[in-house]
Amino acid sequence: MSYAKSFLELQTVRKEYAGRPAVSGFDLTVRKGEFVSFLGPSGCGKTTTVRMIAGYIQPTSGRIVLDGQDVTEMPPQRRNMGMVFQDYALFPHLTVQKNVEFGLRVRKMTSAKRAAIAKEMLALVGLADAADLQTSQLSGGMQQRVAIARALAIDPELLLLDEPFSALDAKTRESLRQEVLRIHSETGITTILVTHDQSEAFELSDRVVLMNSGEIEQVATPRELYRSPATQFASDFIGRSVKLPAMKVEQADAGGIAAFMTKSGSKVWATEHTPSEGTDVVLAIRPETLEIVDANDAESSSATRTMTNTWAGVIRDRLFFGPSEEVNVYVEDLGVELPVSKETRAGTGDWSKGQAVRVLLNAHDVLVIPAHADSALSRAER
Amino acid sequence: MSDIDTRTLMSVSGRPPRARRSMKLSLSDIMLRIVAAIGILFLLLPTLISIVVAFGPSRFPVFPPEGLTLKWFTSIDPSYGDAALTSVILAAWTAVISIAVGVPASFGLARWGRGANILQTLARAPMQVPYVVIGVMMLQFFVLITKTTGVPFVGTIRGLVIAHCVVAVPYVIGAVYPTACLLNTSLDDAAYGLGASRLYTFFRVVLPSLKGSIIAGTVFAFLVSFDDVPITLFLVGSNVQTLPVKLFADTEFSFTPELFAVSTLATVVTCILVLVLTKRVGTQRMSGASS
Amino acid sequence: MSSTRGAPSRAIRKPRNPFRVYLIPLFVLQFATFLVPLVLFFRMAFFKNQGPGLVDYDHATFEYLGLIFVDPYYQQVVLDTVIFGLLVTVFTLLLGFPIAYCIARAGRFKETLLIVVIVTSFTSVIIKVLGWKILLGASGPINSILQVLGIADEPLRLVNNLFGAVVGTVHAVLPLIVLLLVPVVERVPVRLEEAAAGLGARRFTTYWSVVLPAARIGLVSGGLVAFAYAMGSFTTPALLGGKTTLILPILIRQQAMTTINYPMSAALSITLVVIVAIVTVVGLSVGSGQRARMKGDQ
Repeated sequence: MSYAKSFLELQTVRKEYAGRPAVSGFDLTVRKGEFVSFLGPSGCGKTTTVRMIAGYIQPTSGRIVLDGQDVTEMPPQRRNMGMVFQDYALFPHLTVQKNVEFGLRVRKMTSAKRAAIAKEMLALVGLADAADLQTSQLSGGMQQRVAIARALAIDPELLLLDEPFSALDAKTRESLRQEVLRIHSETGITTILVTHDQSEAFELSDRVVLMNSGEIEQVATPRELYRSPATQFASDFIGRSVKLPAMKVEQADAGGIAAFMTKSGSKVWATEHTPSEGTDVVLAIRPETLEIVDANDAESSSATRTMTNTWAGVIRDRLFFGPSEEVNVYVEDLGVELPVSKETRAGTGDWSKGQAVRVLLNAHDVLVIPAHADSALSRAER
Repeated sequence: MSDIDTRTLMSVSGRPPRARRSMKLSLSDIMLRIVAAIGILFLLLPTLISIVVAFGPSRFPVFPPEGLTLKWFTSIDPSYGDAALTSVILAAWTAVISIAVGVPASFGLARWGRGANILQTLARAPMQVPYVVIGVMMLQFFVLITKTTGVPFVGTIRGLVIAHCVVAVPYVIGAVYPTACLLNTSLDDAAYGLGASRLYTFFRVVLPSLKGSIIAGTVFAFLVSFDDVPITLFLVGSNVQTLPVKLFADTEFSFTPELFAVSTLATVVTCILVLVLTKRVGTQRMSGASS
Repeated sequence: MSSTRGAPSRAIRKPRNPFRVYLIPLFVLQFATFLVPLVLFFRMAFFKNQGPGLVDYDHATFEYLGLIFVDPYYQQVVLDTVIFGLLVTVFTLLLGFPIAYCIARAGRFKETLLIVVIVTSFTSVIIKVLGWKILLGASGPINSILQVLGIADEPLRLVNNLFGAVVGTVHAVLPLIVLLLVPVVERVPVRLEEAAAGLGARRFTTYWSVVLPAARIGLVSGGLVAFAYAMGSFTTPALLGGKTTLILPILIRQQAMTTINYPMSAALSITLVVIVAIVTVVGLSVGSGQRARMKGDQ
């Protein structure tokens, strides 16, 4: 990855508690204006990392460099970062405006200047009318907007959002996400979001840092992360997939399509470049990439594509969700049941249990994960 | 079995819901209520009797009084006024110092993390020592200090303030520490992140958030000092006499309507203070911290 | 990804707790004005008394602590103190639990009742004592009622003895115990009582086998507070107990102020503090044992 200019650099940052690593060897470069998410399950070290960036926690080793300056030892007071907390952390004894002005008051700014900035910030988060209210009079979503305004008021180098939406209900969460996206594009501030919610991370960020057990699993754009997970953990945590251990048997042809042999002995075509023949891999198949057709239609359907995997199967059961449904097809050749996700449309519901079908999968949609790169997940299980 | 389960079962069984039985008072219910009523009466009666007796005209205090008069109030000896003034000054100093020490300590304990419980127990250890013991030990200590430094402590406000703070600080911690524990860490983190120093954060964020319990702690410390007999008894001198110790000494050797009049006045002041405070900080905080 | 890989890793250091600065004043104060005086005072118990107010620090002795163990006079005082403490504890709990129960379940009167209890807990000891002196006096209301009802022919001696001391001390500690027990009762779910009633339990059975066991831990800790308070109480027993109520706090004062035998006074103080500590530790372990058992029951 090459970025024009690194703004924030984390260099092998490590944090231990009582000898146990909470974050180990964290390396990351963030460029100015970028929106980066730390995504991972609870306890993966994402909050610890962001708190180290903010200066609340001192790393055990490693360096944190902000805009060319080593800030590793700098106390949070001097780092000039805008932190937004999960529980809002608004000062209960101050009004909305006084909350926003807090950091400016610390900076000994005149009251006229403070008021002007507070007004601007509250307008930015859509709370221009709430300046004189007590924070306890606000809803959760509004409180978090005030917290964002307060963080932005000090004109911070970085905006750090630590699980900012998780205390909110689904609707408020959605609208606040839009708000954050808009604020980011209006201010262009470099932003780091900590979240355990992948859709949140995908929707908002330029890049996602996927973390597990204190280590980075993968750093990629949301699309990359979803389309080509680098590790088994990544493919497990992001979206849903069925996994098939396999071995590479044929190198890629001119079209980039290689052949893999599953344990059950059937061949799967997939686009993939790196591993050499004989390499063990794991093939991951996502439900929404599969398609089913009537057993008799298979010929006509596959005839229009090249290198489409086609398997015969039998429908085991169906789950109807509303906008979509899922058809579980048992594929004898692979020895697994494949969930096939389908959007609900007219004429798509005519599948019945026990029906013989064909399952189609484009070779480009097969995810090929190196078997050895199972990293943190299986280490944790061991 | 949950509440709803019980009710459903009862209505299904067709019998009148048994829960209604609790509406009708059984004998044990009535007994319980009588005991409680006696208990409340028991709590209030002595104080009320004393107040009424203070208005009786007889030279020898009796109940019921044979008339009503204010003469014992108007003829209170000025020495009581001096003692009351001493008590107020002493209690005010005790409250101020106890707050100055106890509030930061409560916040520090709340933020301490591992081992905070042991520290908290240590901080409140003086409460476990009978006050008489504290009184005697402070007397010994002050005598020793005066012997080596020449600075008098026994029979001075200074000495009394120090001795009272020993027992008043734990009360302040008892009032403030639980609230400080509820104070979210992210609140001070937010202030640090916005550039506020630790000192600034403590005064501008932590203290205002603890305001209610600090007021409660102040009044506790004030009253602990204002009412104390067993510690003060050992430390008063010919020039410095507190109101409760003077009343104690007088009650030990005499029994006059004047005692009732002075106690009544002191009690009225205390009650007003406590009532106003309870109104301000709520009954929960008041009852939580007093034990 | 990063161009400056292999940055020199700094040595692992143990950060000091930044909040210790808030605790420094407290522990300095407690060290200088509580711990040091306490140790110096207790130390006196191990040296010889040399006439009023004088301690001979050249001659160490266990004489005074030993006396408390062997001299029947001191044995009696210790025993009386414990009996006094137990009596106060029992009566405080007997009165305190019903009051706390009624307050906890009092609905809209709860606040008012709580305020009454809070105010009495802060009322000065002296006015309460004066009230009891009137109430329990030979010509006081209680003796009058007893005589009118024909229970007593002549005035009973209710004050300036152990009875007066116990009544006054129960009265002094009762508000604290009620305030401690109200939240305990509040934590016993009403649902439990309804369930018991639903199962056909009579009210008495409900109290005895549902409410009390559920509040057991609270009762134990309330009892401990009452006991420690009673054992250490001075003002009330001194004013209502007369000359016959000789308990440790009163004797400690006597030894320090009248006899001026500091070593003896220190030895008695150690005894008092140790008894309270032992009872507290035993009580707490009984309490936590029950907690463990109740957890096991679930």
